[in-house]
Amino acid sequence: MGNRVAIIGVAMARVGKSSLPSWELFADPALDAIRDAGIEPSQVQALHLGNVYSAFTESQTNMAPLVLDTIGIRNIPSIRYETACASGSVAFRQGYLSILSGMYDIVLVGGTERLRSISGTAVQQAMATSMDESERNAGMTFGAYWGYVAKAYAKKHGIDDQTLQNLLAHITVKNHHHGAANKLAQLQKETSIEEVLGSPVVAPPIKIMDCCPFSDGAAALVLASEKFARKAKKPIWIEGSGQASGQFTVADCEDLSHNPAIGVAAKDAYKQAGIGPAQIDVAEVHDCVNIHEVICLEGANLFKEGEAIYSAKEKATYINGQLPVNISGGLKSRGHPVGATGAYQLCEITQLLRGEFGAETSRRPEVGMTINVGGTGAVITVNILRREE
Amino acid sequence: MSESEQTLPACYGCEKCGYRTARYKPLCRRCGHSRIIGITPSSAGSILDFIPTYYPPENLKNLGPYISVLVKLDNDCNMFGIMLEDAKMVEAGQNVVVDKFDRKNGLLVFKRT
Repeated sequence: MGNRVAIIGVAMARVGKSSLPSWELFADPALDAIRDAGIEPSQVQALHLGNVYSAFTESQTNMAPLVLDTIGIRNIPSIRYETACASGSVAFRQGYLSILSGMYDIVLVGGTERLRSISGTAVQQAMATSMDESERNAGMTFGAYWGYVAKAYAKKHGIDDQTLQNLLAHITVKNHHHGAANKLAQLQKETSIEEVLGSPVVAPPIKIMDCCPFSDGAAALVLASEKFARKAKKPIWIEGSGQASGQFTVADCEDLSHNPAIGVAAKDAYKQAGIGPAQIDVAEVHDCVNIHEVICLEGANLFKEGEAIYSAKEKATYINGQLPVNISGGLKSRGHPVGATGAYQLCEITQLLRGEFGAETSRRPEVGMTINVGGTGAVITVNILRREE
Repeated sequence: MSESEQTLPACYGCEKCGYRTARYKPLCRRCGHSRIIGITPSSAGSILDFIPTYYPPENLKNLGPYISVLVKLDNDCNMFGIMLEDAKMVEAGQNVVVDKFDRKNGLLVFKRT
């Protein structure tokens, strides 16, 4: 792999509820990312798009060429990726690999999703298709899954139920604190431990305020080979990109408190980047439910097993902590437009490394990580980005 | 397979390492061996863990809130199902038996013994 690849343009739509269909929703961020990259639309050589549920929510398939046509770009290859909540980052990774292979020099990647145009029940039904069909039919829900994960974690680390709920609430409070300052976030508001603990129970110990909302959103990135990226104003280099597949059938998982596939993807990304966890300055991780922030941080060795659960309470993952995590607000506050979420994480880390995110850390970060996970821990991508001085 | 066995979900085992699963896979996920065979289904087991589920999915809405339960069957297969009992009466380690198995929809209902 002799070529280097950089992110040279990023843009995101406001997360929340959109009146636009998902293919139109993507058009503005796509053109803004192209402008941000300082290139012409005609220079884009391919589109890699993350999108999960349009067949269910908008009765629309064949999304990638539709998105391309809506933007007004023609004749280039386009492909849509569906890997549940990891679709946006898988699209990113495939775009990255297509440049790394030498096939292309400039590609557009990202994700788009529209979930709030239909009822919550219909969204739940659509999302449930991302888990094992036999387990779904046997009464498993995502809420119950995360309940099992949280209980397994607490049991393994000797945490009682009340303490567990309190520690999880601290993660939600932290992510809302960050999201309150993010102008593109869906839930731009602070919350409190009391509000989280007082929210309705979904599947104990998981409460509604432990969970992220469903969202509409779209985010786009322009990736370029080194030859083109050197001409860009602020290239952010893709230093490592790992992907792994975890256990799909939950009943056969030996230990739900830990997802080894996150470690596999992270190890690959660290190896490619030539760094270790200590060099990560900032991270955006997949907190679809707050316990999953813990599983991600420990899976990637950013915290030791049994320690990440205390990270928010001890302020270690706050914006000025030792490792700021989910400065965007994460899925909990920024929102979770499923097929676009991974692309949002990558845009946010890019802007943070450029010093353009808005809410800035006390130390300007040099290296950032994203961890995006699909389904019941079944698809994992870990990306490491770096700015150059 | 007897008629009564057909009223239970299928289970599989690895001939080499003995690994058991309720989900057929041509390769054993523990040792990679390819001789996976059907084993005698079991109607009894014990609760490994359980989660009361207050927001049932659309296909189970008619049941109201239920308990999602992970059961280790006596044939060593782990399997999810539901229980329609008071959550306060349910504990990990309790013995359960299959109360109903809706083969068409894949729903497995356990009850305490």
